Amino acid sequence: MRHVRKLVLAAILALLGFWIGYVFFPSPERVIRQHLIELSGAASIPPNEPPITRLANVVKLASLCTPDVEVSVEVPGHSFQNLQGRDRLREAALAARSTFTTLTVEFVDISVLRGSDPVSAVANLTAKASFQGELVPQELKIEFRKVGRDWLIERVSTVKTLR
Amino acid sequence: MAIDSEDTTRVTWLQRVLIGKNPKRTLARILVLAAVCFAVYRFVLLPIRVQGISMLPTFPDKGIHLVNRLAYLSHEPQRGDVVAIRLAGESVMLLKRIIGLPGETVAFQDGHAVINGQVLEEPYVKFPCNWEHKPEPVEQNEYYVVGDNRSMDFYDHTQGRSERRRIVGKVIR
Repeated sequence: MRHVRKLVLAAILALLGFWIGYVFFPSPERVIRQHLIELSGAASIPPNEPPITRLANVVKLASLCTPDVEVSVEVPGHSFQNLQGRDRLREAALAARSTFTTLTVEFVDISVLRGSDPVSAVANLTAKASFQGELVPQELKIEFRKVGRDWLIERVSTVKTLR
Repeated sequence: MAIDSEDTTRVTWLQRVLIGKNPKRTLARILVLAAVCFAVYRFVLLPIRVQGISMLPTFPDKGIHLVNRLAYLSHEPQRGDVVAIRLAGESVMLLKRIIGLPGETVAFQDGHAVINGQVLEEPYVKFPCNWEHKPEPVEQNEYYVVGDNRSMDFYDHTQGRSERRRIVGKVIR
């Protein structure tokens, strides 16, 4: 009976240890995937977005990026966008929010690859942007850099599916 | 007693219809059927839902179709095949028609596809088009793909050269 009790206690401790590790020490891949979910949420524009939420989403979007972030996005049929720096990104995000009444961004087929050095990683994914009843799928390459204890977006670029 | 007998008969009849004479055998059949369906729809025939108008009128918006993943095991993609092209994965794919094969040159003149200087007969293109595009060589291991609906501007239409590795399979109408 004492052995059984010890075994149960050991199992509980192991589970607790695993849970603490999972919650408080997430793997870089899990952190990056979480950031991508936050990014898609912050980039989306819900209908009738209140000004305070709009500002909060723009701040959130910028906080996920490094100060020298570079965004190069080229979507067929739409204009080419090249932005450099967090401030410029913030301005563009605010401008986009006043242009679009609604926009839904979703990331699917995410694969995260760690770089050759311990402070870089690349996420390849398909972004699904829906606005005005139109769906624009676009393959993206998002490069992350470890800054302090966090992983921030350093560069976003489109991948040409068709050349 | 008569009511009991009727109930028993109904239960037996329902039981027969729902779980068969031998429940164990029925369960085994269901498991085998589920496994076969999973394998077929996961590895052979991939169900897709069309979103968009670029393949009109051949593939209307919101239509449900299947992609045959095994179509190109024995031979390479052919001109005229409608194929599914993967992006980062297979959750979202492009649905396009192959018009140019590896090593060929593809151009558009007065709205007609021109392959190696010869106008391509395309009975599936139903909408008028005025595309003009200079000859573009298709490299080895690449295919030139385009939608059937060419009523929009050339640069608004997603078309171009796709690597062979991106072609998931042939779309079944």
